[in-house]
Amino acid sequence: MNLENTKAQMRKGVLEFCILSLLSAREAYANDLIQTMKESRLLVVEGTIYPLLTRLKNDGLLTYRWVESTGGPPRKYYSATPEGISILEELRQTWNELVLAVSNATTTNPNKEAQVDNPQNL
Amino acid sequence: MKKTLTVNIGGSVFHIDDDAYEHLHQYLSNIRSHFAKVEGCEEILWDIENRVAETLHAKLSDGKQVITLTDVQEVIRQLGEPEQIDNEADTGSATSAKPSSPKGPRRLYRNPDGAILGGVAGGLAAFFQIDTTLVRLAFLLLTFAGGASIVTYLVMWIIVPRANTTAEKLEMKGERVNISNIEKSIKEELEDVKKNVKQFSADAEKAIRQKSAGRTSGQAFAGGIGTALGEVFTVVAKIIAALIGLALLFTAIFLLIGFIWVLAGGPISIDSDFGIQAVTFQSLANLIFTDIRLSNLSLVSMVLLTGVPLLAMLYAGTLLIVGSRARIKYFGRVALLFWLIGLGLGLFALASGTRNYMHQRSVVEETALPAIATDTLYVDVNTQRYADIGVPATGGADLDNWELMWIIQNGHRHHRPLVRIVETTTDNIEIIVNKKARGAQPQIARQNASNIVYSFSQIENRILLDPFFAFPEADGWRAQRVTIEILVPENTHVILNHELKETFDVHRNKTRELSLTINKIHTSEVAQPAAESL
Repeated sequence: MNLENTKAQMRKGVLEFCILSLLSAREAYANDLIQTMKESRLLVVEGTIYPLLTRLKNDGLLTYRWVESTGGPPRKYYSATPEGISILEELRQTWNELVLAVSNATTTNPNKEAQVDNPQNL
Repeated sequence: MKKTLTVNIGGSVFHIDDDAYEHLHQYLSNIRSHFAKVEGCEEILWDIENRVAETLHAKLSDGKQVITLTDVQEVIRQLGEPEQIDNEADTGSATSAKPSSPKGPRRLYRNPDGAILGGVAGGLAAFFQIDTTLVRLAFLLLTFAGGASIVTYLVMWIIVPRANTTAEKLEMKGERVNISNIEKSIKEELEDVKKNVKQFSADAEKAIRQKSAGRTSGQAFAGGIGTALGEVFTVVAKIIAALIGLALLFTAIFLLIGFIWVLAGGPISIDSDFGIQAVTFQSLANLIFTDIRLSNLSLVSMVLLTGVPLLAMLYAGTLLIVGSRARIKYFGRVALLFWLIGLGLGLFALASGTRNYMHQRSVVEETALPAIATDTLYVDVNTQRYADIGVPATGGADLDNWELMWIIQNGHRHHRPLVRIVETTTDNIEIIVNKKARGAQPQIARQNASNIVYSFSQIENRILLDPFFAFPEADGWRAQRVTIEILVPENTHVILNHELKETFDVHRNKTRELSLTINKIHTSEVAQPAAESL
């Protein structure tokens, strides 16, 4: 089993959820997001954030506005759209269910494991 | 010291090292091509470029104004390679994006970009979507398996059209020919052109040659074949030139080694048998010239006359392989000048040397032998004499005249005489030894001739001839020659030892015919002789 690959796979799905979550709380530009997510070890390489932001924006979940910066090009400040927030709610619910299911699956007696859905099917 | 470029990254101006620029440019190009099929590619690129600018900006300070390769590498590590980014962000560029940009039909072309010869390998690589290097390697390996790949390559070079237009290049890569793809391709090419323009100034000559050689393409198929054939011939001509150059180079190098060997006093002829002296150029020159200065002059002349053409050969070979880059200014003129100097010295030495051969004089010694009892005369070689000069008696007769010359015993050189058998009307057997030599003056020539030593002996009806005559080493070679005439009465039966035949040049009188048996040469009467012998 390729452990690094599995870890990356695990992170993959939650990245968009995290970005939406962060941006629903407050407006931010890419560097702020990178900073936060790197601290919580969600990002390995910074470049990842850009394709994700672009995709979420194209899907209408995010929007941005230009803010002039001192000593540099103007920055894109992203924020979640109302649609993004409703999607976020949906994702959050799914996430909570998932966390519960995963914690059940990983803490219960191996004899009872059939009771729990395989998380990969979610 | 490094070359620095000024670039605009994300709207900010940076001074960046040349190598750092190349690295960064490659990185951004990789990202572009990786995300080319993802929606919002331009935006992602713009964002990443801005991030690069920001990060690089943070690396600069008052003390540090130039972006280095290390800076760029750090930034790239931080941002991640396109594959890493894609792996985490899961843009689906590898799988899900494909249906939105379906592939067009793939066609086989020759790829002129990055081609080494005709771009056949590049075209095949694009067609089969593998690495060009692998195709080249395959061609190379198959060359060893009978060389069929060379023919295949040449044929493909001629019949496969070259991807000239952007549309053809897209077809070659199997990408759909549409406006956005063409635009993208052209943009990428423009980037390359920009890079080329920079190289152009550094390597202008080469670029001009390339353009004039290959870029005048006709649209028509026939025109394409014409250009391809032209390319083939140009390259084949180059290869042939290089091969000839290589041959010249090797020949020149081997000859030079031999030449230097001779110059250093190495023997020209080596024969360790029989204690023959090593023959060096110097010793040869000393045979001809009495004056050591003339001898040295002839050596200098030889150095120039032989060395200059050898160096010219070396130079020509290098030119053929490396091309005009190796050209040395005025090489031809200087070489010719030195060669002519060598010729002048050589002619002078030759003229001076020739003076030693101006006059020829002979010294004749006649010996009348006592009458013999029978009418049969045996002529034999005194092989014992070989032992006298340090050559084993048996097998010593194998020495040819050249080798014999270099055996110096008691200050004498040795040479073979000439033997002639002549019929006379007298009753006595007579031996005439005629010694000849040349010299700068008549008296010197005479002296040289009388310095020649030759001896023979007689035991009853057997004559023993020495296999060689000797002359003092100090005399040098003055065309010393000895002719032995054996005058025999008519009707004498002469039997020559077979050894004699091998040793001497036997001249015979026309009235006698030599008949050959296994070991002996007999002379016998011929029916018609009377009138002539009188």
